[in-house]
Amino acid sequence: MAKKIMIVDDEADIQTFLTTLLKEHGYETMAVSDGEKGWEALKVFRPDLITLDVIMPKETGQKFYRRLVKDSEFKDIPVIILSGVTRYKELFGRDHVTMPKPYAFVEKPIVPEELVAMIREALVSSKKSKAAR
Amino acid sequence: MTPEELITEEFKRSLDRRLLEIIPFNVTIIDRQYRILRANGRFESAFGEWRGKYCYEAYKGRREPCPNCRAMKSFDDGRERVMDEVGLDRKGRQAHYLCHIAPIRIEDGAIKYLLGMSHDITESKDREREYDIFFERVPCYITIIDRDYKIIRANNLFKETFGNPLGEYCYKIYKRRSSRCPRCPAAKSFADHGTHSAEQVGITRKGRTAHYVVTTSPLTRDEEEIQHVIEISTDVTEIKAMEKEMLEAERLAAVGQTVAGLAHSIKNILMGLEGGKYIVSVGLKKNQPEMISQGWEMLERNFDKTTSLVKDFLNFAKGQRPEVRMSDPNALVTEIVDLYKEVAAKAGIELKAELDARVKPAPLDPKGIHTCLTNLVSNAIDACQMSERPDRMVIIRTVEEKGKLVFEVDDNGLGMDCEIKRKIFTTFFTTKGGGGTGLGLLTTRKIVQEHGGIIDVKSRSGKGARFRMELPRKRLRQLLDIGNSPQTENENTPVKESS
Repeated sequence: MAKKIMIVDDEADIQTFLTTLLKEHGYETMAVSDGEKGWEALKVFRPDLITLDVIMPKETGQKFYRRLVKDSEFKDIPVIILSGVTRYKELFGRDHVTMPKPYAFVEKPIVPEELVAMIREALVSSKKSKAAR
Repeated sequence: MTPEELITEEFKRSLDRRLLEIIPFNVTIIDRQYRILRANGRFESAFGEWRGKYCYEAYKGRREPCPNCRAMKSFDDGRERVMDEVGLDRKGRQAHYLCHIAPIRIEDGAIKYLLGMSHDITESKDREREYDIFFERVPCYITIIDRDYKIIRANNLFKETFGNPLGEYCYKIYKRRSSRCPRCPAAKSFADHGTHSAEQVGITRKGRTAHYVVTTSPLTRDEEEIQHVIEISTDVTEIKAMEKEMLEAERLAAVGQTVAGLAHSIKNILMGLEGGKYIVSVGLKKNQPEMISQGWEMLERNFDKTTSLVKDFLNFAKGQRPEVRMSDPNALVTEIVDLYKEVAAKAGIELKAELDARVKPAPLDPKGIHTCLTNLVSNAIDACQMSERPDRMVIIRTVEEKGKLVFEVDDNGLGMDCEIKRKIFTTFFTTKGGGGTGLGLLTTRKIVQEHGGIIDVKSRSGKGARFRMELPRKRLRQLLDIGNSPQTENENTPVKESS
């Protein structure tokens, strides 16, 4: 069965880009435009991985991530942060006790092949860790 | 009757008995052997029992005469003396006293007794010491000048920094000037007996520029004509340098932030271009015309974004000078409402103005304020569009409020959480994805600041937002003064070329 990836990004062009790219590589995708919609989609779509933008209206990526890692059901889903601002790294996982670091930070613009390779790796390692438990 | 005749014998006797008690000093009468022959009650209460004691015993608790006793010299030369002495009072405390020695001649002209009159000056001595400590230890330059502006006293810090000033003119020694400084605060203190201060720049002995804040006060209060003024100066050279460094650091930080923001916007556009390119290439490979045109549209859109980014950025960076003229704030708002009413209505949003009739025309840059209101209103409409509530509304308001002209733009749209609120006035921040350049609010704030005003926002997530621009009338009037200076007029007046 195809792995499912949720794309959280408020920019339509980036949604289209990532959707096309990931579908081409055999993944099933769902794109939402902010954290709030992401949260609703999470329960229905049950993704294996999330790509997350930082600055979005309604609910920022930071807030969404904070909610996610506190949720026992979804906290193990690997998250790749996609942002134009490297500085936002500081905003995630500053407090390592209560907030684990996201799987990776990727600075926009992305290199398509590199992102795909990273996603593949993330899915493999998360499968391993699930199997180990 | 002569005054002498008026004094009765009885009174004379009483005076003889009581004279020593009436004199407001500690009185002793001593002989050549330092013996105290008589003393008054004051002396006794200050120094204790004196009967059978030598003066050095009673005054200082010594067992033998003081070396080089000056009082005894009066026996030989018959002169009066005033001496500053330190003794021990009856409780053993050190006491400063001023002692007046008068030799008493008896009928044959020989001096057999000395009359000593002293009073305690311990308290004023203490005060003098405190004053000296203050004068020398405060980290300030202190000078005292006379009415000719000549320095008659200065503390060591001043001397070390500016050189020995005694008898020199204060303007010469502080600033190497040959005449009095304009707006001299000391002159004001001489004139109105008040305290004044001013910020000054001087030159030290070693040629360093010294920034200092000087406070001048008359040295005496009750005189009709002030004779001396004290100048106390605090050196603020280092603080000035720090302020300058801080401004520079802030400027660099702002530049850095701007560059980082610009890079962020460009990265987002590059991401769009990258995406367009990718989709076109997949479309070509698979021979899918829809994909090709989808990718192509993405490419076009992101090229357009580049154009508008560059345009907005230049607009922001250009820093146009505000063109100030008397404008009617209410008319400006009406203009904006007319302009946006249709756009808003199409999106199902009601746009209306609430005008305060008390608002009078003000000196404004109408184009600038137009830009501000446009930015705020289009943001408000966007915020409403993102909200799902049915009664979406944007209100532009003018308010005249305690010397301030206020513009408010209210919406009941999406609102902002504090994370977003914190970032909205930073360069290139946008929540509109590709829709915004992140320069609108920044430009708005810049224009408001150029008008001497402030802009702030109140908002809660899901509860709409209120942006408020406050322009103090006082600052606006100054704006008009600057705008109407001859220099500006010349710039705007075309120069006729003579043929």
